[in-house]
Amino acid sequence: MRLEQVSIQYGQQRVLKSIQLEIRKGEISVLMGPSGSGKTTLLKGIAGLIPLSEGEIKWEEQKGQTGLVFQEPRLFPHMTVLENIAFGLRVKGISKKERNHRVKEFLKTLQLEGLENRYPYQLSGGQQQRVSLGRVLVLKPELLLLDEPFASLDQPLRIQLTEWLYSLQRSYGFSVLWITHYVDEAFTVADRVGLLMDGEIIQVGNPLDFYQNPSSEKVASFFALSNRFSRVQWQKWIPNHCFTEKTNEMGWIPARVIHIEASSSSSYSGGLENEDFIWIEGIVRRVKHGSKTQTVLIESKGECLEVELNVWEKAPVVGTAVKAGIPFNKIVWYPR
Amino acid sequence: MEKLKKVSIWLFFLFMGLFMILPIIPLIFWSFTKLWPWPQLIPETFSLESWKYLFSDTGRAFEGLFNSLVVMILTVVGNILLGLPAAKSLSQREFFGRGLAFIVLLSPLFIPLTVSIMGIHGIAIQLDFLPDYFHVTMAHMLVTMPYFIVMLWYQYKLLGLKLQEAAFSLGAGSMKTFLWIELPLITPALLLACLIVSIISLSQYLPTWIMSGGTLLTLPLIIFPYASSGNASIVSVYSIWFFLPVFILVSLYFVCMKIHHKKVSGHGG
Repeated sequence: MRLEQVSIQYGQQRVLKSIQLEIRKGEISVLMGPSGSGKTTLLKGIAGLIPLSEGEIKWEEQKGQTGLVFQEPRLFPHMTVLENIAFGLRVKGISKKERNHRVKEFLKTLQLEGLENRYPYQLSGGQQQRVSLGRVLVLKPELLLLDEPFASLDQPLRIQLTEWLYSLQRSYGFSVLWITHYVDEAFTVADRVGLLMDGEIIQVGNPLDFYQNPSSEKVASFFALSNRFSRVQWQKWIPNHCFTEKTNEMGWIPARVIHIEASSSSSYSGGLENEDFIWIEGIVRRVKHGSKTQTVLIESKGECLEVELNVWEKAPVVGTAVKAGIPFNKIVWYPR
Repeated sequence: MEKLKKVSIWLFFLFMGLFMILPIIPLIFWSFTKLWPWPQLIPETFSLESWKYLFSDTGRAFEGLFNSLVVMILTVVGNILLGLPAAKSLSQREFFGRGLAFIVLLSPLFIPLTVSIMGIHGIAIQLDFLPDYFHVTMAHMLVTMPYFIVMLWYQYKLLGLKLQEAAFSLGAGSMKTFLWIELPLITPALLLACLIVSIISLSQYLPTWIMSGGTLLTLPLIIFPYASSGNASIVSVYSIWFFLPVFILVSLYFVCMKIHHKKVSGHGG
């Protein structure tokens, strides 16, 4: 399925602007973006709940069926699990006997066996979301549209359901357009990732493209890439180094690859290359403790470098002078 | 402390119950006697005279009940046909002048009844070819519709658009979404609104009298002359007769609610 120059307008406000996007058969495409960027509007537009102001949706073969799963389960409270899942089949005019048969067969896949006569209020959050997915999947859609379906669940359940859905997709082979703001969730399942900002898709690619070739500072900022500085700043820190990078104005480097040592250490080479590292002097301004890592903020020449340490490593004391070893060839350059 | 709280609650409900039930007791006594002077605790003589009068040709008990029920049913149907879409639109659709439309629909609540009824009477005169039932129903709808709309407007507000959106995304059209999703979910409010509309319609005197010119004898129109004449026995008999459809309607409401609750949640009660 291809979206060609799709725009959606609410009154005078243009929410989506000339969206160009391809969803490949059997692939999981993940769409990311900040709140209010138009992700949900795009899904509703594809599902036909909102009319397109401009552009069109083109299918490779005949028009395929889409199925939309919302952020919250939106189960019909007066219907049992079985009736909820069978709703789409009932709409299609399939007989009660036939739809019950189809749903009961499908319950095992959904891991909802034995719960068919329960009402939504009698289910856990994870079970409710499975019913919500089942309600759509039983219709065998060509394209499954997921609007942050697991966002309201706690992390272990979210990971478990993400894995379950991934296996289901791989065995059934339907295409998926998945909206999420969890980068980990997106990158574990995505074949392709798109980034939507202010109603425009600003980069599409495979998951690692966003780290290895961010298309702009907006993209780098969205993925919270660490140590993003302009070429001018890098030159301030490393004045003697010959910069081969001429076109891209920004550079980032993962906090994890920067080394940190006490200022008195002998490996310090005063801004010159020492094997693969270039050493910069600075003062420790803050140490942030995370669940798996700790981040040291080192101020040098008006900017702060982030250095990531393991939790078992000893972090330097705030206010002490240190030097940070930067593997210069690991800086990723990208346009502003 | 907890015990005291429980006792207070029970006492409160006991007094409330007595406050509502006690007036019915003398009504029953009065319906079986012509004379009950003070300070007699109970009347000395009992008779079925008033009841006989009620069911006699001149008593017009069945005619009054029939007319009241016809107008009531027409009023409920009219409210459902006009009030339901209005309530839905007001709560779920965005359109220019929505606030004004809401105020206009609720205006019978704060515009004096006689002003509204006289206004609608002018229209009814032009529709003279229609039976009196329709003229009276128009007036009853004017009186009851604000209550009906407010109750359903609030229910639609609570319902929101999310479930309808889910139904649409699964391929359901407007009619299926209404019948399979909206209707079962608004049923409790709809039943209550219909009950209130029915009770208000049954007890209307002035709109019925003005619109029919006193020719369509509903129960309030029959009772009123007796009430003003001070015939307590006859008034009691008619009051009980009037209470009967109300009692049946309220009972019917609770039965329907129980069935509905059982159907939508898998258990009764």
